[in-house]
Amino acid sequence: MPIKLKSILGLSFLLVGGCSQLHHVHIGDIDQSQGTLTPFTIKVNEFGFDAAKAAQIGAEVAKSSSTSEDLELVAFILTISNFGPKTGNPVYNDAYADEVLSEVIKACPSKKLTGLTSVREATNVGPVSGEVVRINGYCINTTQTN
Amino acid sequence: MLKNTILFSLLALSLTGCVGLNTVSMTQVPAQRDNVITTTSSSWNFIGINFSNAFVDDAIDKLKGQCPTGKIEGVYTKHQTTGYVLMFKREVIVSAYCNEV
Amino acid sequence: MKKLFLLLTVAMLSACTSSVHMSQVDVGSNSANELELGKVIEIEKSQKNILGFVYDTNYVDQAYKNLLLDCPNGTSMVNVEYLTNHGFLSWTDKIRIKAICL
Repeated sequence: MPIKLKSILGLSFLLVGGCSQLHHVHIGDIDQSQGTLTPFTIKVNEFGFDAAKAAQIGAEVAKSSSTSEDLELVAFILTISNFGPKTGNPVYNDAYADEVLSEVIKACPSKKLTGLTSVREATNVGPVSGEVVRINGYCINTTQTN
Repeated sequence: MLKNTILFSLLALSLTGCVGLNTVSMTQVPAQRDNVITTTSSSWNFIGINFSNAFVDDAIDKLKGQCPTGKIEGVYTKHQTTGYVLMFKREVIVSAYCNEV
Repeated sequence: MKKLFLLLTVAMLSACTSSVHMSQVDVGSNSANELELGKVIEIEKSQKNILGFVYDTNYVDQAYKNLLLDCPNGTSMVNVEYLTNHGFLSWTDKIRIKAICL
């Protein structure tokens, strides 16, 4: 394949990849009987980067064949060094979602929560992404309870 | 060619029975835990091609059947996939507590 | 020099990635006191996996059993996180449970 065509293809993949991806969703009980509800959202995210995919794209668009071969080798080394199941792009910090529970507790002054929806999602632009854990929920406004 | 076929078959056989965890979920654990109810529901497929996810609904029906008049609490669910030669078994394993209201 | 730089970059990017598959938060019947006064407990269990050769997911059950032992009176809120730490031809699956005991 000519190099120019490869570059165009590579760029198109990057542009097409700029989209949102839903990986997992969990919806909890919603209690509307205790008072009015005020929505809140907790969102934590981390920079996701698929280094092997980036090297592979580099190899595809490289001008010289030796650079292309080098980058393919790099992609192979990265692939076997970062083995395992992946949801979205890999991240370099596995604790980015650790504070979710404490943040949810802090979200409501009344400490009364309901309707928690847990979403694991991502926004991708080629090998780069924002890996997101989002919790939506409602605070129960006890003062307005009948 | 024969050598490759044998090698591939051996590799496929060695991976037989390997399990991959898909998801885990749990709801609030109750204080009353005398009556444990468990159920599993599974679905087999060939090279990962599925046409229905109804086995999940079976698990819920089986769970409800074990607690017809009570409240099902502390629901702990594991969704896992076991690989065999060209065949995969998707499985939902559920454990919960049946408490009379 | 260029190759050395490349090798160093590869080494830096290797074997330290992770993937968070899911993080779920669930809340029970509401009581402000339960969330305020409850003790937060943390449980983490993992399983080393070499090229996919594992035959059970008992580490998850073990984490759940620990939760039951740590919260004899039940929970009011629970957070389950399932993630994988990647490695050289192997990986480690982890379950992290955080809960507020009653």
